[in-house]
Amino acid sequence: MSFLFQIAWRNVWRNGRRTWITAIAMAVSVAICIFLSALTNGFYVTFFDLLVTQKMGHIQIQHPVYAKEKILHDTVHNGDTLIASIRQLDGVQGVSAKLYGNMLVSGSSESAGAQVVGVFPEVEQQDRNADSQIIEGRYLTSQPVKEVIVGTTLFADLDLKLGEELFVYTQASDGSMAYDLYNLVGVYKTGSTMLDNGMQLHVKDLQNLLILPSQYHEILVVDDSLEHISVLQMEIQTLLPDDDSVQAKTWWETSPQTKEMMSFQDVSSVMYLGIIFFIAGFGILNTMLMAVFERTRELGVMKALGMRAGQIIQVILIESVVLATLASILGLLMGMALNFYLQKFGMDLSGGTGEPLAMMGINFDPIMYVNMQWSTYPLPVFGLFVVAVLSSVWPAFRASRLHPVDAIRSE
Amino acid sequence: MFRFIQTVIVGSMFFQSTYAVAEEPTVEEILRKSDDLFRQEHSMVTMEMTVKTSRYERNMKMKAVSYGTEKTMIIILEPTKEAGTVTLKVDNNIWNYLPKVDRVMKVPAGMMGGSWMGSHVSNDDLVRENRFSEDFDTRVIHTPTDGNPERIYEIELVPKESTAVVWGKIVTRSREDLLPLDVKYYDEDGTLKRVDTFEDVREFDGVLLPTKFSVRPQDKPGEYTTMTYTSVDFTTPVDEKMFSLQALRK
Repeated sequence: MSFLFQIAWRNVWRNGRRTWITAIAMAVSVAICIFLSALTNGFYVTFFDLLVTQKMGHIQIQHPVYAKEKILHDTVHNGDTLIASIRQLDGVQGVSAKLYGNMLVSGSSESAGAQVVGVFPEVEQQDRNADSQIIEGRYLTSQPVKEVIVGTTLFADLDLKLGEELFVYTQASDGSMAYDLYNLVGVYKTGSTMLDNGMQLHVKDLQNLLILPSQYHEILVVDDSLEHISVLQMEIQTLLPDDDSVQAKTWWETSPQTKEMMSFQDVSSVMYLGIIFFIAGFGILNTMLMAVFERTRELGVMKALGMRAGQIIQVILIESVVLATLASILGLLMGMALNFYLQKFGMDLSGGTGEPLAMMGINFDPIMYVNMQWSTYPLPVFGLFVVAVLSSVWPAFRASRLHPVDAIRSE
Repeated sequence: MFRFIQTVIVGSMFFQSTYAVAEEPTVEEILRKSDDLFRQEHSMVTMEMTVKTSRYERNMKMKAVSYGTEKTMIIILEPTKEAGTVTLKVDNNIWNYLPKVDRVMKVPAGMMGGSWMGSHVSNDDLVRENRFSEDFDTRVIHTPTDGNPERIYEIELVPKESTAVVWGKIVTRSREDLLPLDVKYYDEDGTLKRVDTFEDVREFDGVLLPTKFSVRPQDKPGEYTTMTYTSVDFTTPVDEKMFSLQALRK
């Protein structure tokens, strides 16, 4: 074996330049695979964080038909008590609650219909970095002091000014006219058309306006571990009233499409891995065929000297494995360097404009950060070895079948 | 049709029959009575409104003042929380005066279809000006006489093609003295959507008037809005100047 390895090793370095070029080409394939894994992973992590963790919550507690019919009265009752007991459960990272209403909003000159969202400002600031969405003025204070912030579209449409009093009008849950004045303290931009055309205020202020004390349209729970969600869901269900007036659903029950999309990550990884190595495979095949053709005479001599076909095959395969090892080391180093860099500094997908990327009603930061996971490293390396061996089988087989006399004669 | 609702709110309709119905009235006459009786100079009524929905029940007391056909002002007296709220209707526009914020708000076009004061009467119902005889093809479908102490005129109204009406068909029933009994609204598929009834005819200042008006949406069983007069005054003069936005705030 060590004898065969010696022969293979010498052959590998006989044409150093070709070896290096092939190795670098293979290394780049590995590096690209590692980088793409980290990139898609980064994308999905961001996507999951924005769409699921921040927007939907891991578990949603709602009236059974609110999501479909959006009727003001379909709320979760005794919400404050429920929220307090959910916070006591193990693994709960955050609980937020929201109340929605459609209202007529008037500034000093213009009026428009808008969706109004009641939030807990502190929770939004801590768990969802709500401050980062403020483009003018400031976010709501943590107390219900009749402050509002409006979306950038509504702000422009109504020709509003910070500090102005907004008049809000709608029908309360008891059928009476609900209206009040609120102090405009800030403007936000989320990228979601509906939200940016709406308004936010302290949920207690909205409960007072709509006469829905301690009632919420949704309570969103974030779990500290994604594996624990089903357990937490069952624990929450024991806290809910028995009459089916409230239900707790996990994010994949609420949005099966999102679940499907998340699973597409694995499919896409395998797909581009396949494509890249298919191409890389032909490179290796070419190199190994060249190596065999070049050495026809030499291989003939080896055979004439008594080397068996199996040994020749071994020599060629070992050459290929050496090449793959070299390429793997190079590729891992290149991929890691790239990932470490992009994990730290990210890459600007907006081409320098800084405009957020809107997708599915969510705004992505144009600076894309990769998410490197060590678990994504072995697959490309393994793939490289498989391809290297597979694509040298044919050259090796050819070499082993050479007739010593013909081979020595050939020039 | 909407005028019936308005009528009750305004309280100036159904003047005691100027017609002595000696002979069989024509459809035109019955309908014209509904339309024309509305041409009353002024009125001042107080009334109670009860709204029952699957979500809430609501009782209100209000005062309605009207001048001619186009100007009406409704002032909420009870509940205390909403007292002082005023609805002003001039022509096809509605304004609300909201005392808590001392502000007058014109009801925007987009909210005209919405509920007025949480009832089953929409803002549109308050202002809609359909003249039956102009906007509908009509025919008397039933005038029973046999065995009934009083005759009832039943009239079917189908909107003319040029008329923008949400209903497919309306059937009204009136008493022999032409006071309305009920109105049934059907959609374009012929499904009964809403029934308005007029009850408890009483006399005020020599005028016979149904004093109780109810709306029952048929697609929401058990829900209704009822308005009942507690007092009606056709004699006290009403100043036209009070139907202005400035006067609303007073």
